[in-house]
Amino acid sequence: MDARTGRRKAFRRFFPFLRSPLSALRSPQLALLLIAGLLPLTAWGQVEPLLAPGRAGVQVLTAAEIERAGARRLSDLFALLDGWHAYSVDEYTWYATAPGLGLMQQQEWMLLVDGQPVDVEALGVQNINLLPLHPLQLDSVVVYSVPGMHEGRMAASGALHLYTRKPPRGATARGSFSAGNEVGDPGPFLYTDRATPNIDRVGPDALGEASLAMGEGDLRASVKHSEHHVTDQQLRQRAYYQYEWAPGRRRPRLRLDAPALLLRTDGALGRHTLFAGHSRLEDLRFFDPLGLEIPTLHLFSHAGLGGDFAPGRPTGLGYRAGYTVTNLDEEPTRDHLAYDWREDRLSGHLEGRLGNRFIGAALGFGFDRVEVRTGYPVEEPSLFLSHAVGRLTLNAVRGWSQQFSAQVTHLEAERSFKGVMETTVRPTAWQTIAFTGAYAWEPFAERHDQWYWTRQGYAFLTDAGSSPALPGRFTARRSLTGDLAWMLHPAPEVWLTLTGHFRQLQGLTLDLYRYTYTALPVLGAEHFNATTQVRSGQAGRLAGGSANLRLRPLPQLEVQAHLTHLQAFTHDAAFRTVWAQQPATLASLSARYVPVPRFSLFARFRYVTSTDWQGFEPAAAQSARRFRASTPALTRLDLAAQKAFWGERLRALVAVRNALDAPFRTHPAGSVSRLTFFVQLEVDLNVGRGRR
Amino acid sequence: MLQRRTTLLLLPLLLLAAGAARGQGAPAPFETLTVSVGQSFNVNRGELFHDFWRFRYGWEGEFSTPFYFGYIELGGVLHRYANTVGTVPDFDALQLYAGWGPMLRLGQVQAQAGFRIGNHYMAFAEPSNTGRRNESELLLGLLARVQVRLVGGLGLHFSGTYTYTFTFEELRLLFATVGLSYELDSPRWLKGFLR
Repeated sequence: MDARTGRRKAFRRFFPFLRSPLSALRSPQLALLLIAGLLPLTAWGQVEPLLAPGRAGVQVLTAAEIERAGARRLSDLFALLDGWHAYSVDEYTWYATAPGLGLMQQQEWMLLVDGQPVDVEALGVQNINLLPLHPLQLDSVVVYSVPGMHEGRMAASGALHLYTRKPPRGATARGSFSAGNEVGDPGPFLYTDRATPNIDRVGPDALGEASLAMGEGDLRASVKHSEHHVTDQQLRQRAYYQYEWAPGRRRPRLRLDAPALLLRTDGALGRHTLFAGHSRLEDLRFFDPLGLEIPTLHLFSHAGLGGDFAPGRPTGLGYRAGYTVTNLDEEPTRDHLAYDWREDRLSGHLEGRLGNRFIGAALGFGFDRVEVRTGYPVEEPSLFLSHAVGRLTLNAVRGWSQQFSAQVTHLEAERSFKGVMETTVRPTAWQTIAFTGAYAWEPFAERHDQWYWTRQGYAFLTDAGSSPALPGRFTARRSLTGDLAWMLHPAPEVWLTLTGHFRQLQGLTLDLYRYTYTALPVLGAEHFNATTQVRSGQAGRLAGGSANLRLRPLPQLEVQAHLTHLQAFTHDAAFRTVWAQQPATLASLSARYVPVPRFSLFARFRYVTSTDWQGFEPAAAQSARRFRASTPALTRLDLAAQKAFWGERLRALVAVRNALDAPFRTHPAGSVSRLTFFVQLEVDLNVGRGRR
Repeated sequence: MLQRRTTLLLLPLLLLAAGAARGQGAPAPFETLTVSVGQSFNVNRGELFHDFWRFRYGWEGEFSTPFYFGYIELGGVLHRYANTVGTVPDFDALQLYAGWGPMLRLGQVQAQAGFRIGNHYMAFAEPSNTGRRNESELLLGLLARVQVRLVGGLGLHFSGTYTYTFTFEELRLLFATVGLSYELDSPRWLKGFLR
């Protein structure tokens, strides 16, 4: 093949619509060409000015970005986070991790709502969709991909801070409804020998909210509803196997109803927020140690009060208190599997700060009380953790700022220590160098995860026929991390950030699962049998880097590119096995285009490298490769177009997820999703004086 | 053959994009409203679909209005299909869609090209053994249309539409449509709503 032929072939490969008009319909290149062709033709619309990256490792998602991307569930935010990886078995509960700040098994990133930590974790699963909030209620999301202190808690594994929207003055009613359809239905061929299983709809997801804002306060009441159908064949067969049918009982599906109340005052006495909500989720969560979905009624209730008497000032007093109840109730199952688990968490924190523009110090004290209620004879079912935190901030030298934060936690006879140092140097107006270093030492009991409670006597796994091999002793975990960032601002509306990452993780407790496969003659069902080995004292090091480029080449166009790569070295075998379940490289390219006011286009392309799941190798062999012990490198293109009508009271959004229609699976036992089409309608009626 | 025909639909889209985007003869967005009705015919053969069903007739109705860089449309097409094999039922199909594309006005002649996205709803005359009577799937389409103004706002249009339905066994159908359209100034309340 001569060079000319090779060039021609490469050209046709990139522009497939020249080769086949059919592929044109599914060609992102054609869409990009058309958009690119139209770009210079107008300057009517405008994307919001770029936010300057305030700190290294911190990303801010604005309400406009969230809306225009077509986020309809909180878990959709993970697709917008730079460097974070998320996987899911059922595409409803997502396991996420910040770049290298933990392993996927350890869902320890912190979740905050308007300054209050909210614990949605239950037995090792942190399902963000349980939060009784809808993405359209958010004003912004601040994403911390580096360790840091947030509201008196040290988040060594990163954090997501959700800030809710402030409603406009007067009375307002808002509503949103979205539903989608995944392709691949049998269509008319249902009646032929070409018939294939039906693919259920996606959703619906809905929000209703009423608010009243007057004087210095506002009150919001909302209810969120979400449905998710088990349409993937693998999941369906496993779920149907455990599902106990009864007269009037619906077929297996996830269904969430979540009312919430938010009251805020902001005046001379400071800013204070009350957030309360309750979520009821008919769940089909995949439980790794058993290798199957267990129908469960997941109840989550939270009430929290927090505030600051002098917000934004260097001297002041802040506080927060929260009470959370998580209940995993029984649903009828074939094998009578029930978690029989309730966890009550009570927390409080008080923090005072003193300072001026050059120097500041803060000191705070607080506690967390955790109590487990279960029918199993758990030894010492309650834990009381008290903590002290301190922070010192120095801005004495122009162009240089320094911050030290530390937390000491006391749990019975044990203590933990976590500290973060942040240094920011701005040698010139167009560049900033930032370093974040963190060290954490925490005893195993502080995490009080499922293995801790299993050791204490929670015998659900034994009752379910599984006997996990636990280590003789659980070790304390230590982590040392460093992030060195060079932020460049070479031209207006151009930001480039280059970051180097280093992580040393020691004393980890890791789960090693081994899944075998069984096909059952009943209903063609199938399921896994799992054996679990828990290893403690595991260690590994990670190093890598990331690059982030944000620019606004035209007033109406914003483009962002991101690349993260992390490599493991000098590690234990268990660490290597678990780390291989995460992609080493993640890349994304996003564009937001607002050609005219009240109309926007959004595109995000993502790429992640393959992952290996050694524990699924036996199942892969036994199922004749029906299951794979790996996931291939994944590409995904999401598109959305939004138009506002009626003076912005009505918004309509159409979105196409996985526009390339490439089979998308992030977990060997997980569902495979294909191209999915969504429509979302949002109504915003402000019947008072103010308008958004 | 089908691919060659759809290329003929794709080409005007690309050619019109540049011309229409320059705003040649284009009215302001939402300034006018065009109501169209027409009869459509399935003109391609040889797909797997045609081994089981034959096209009987189809009607199309839509609203379109000038939009940024072209026009947008909302519409629906009703198609009726009869079985050619006794083991499968007759069915009716309703395509509900939204579309956008560039538009070019040259005197009394108006040329449009664009794409459509929507839902392909199928209602079957008999239940299957699973009891399902209907199916619904994502639809994408490409369109090329020529419209000639006859008198006043009344016009005659001819169009070709290639539709692709994302069923497991893909449905690829090519339609020709002939119909009448009427263009009127948009009511003020409608312009206010749409803008």
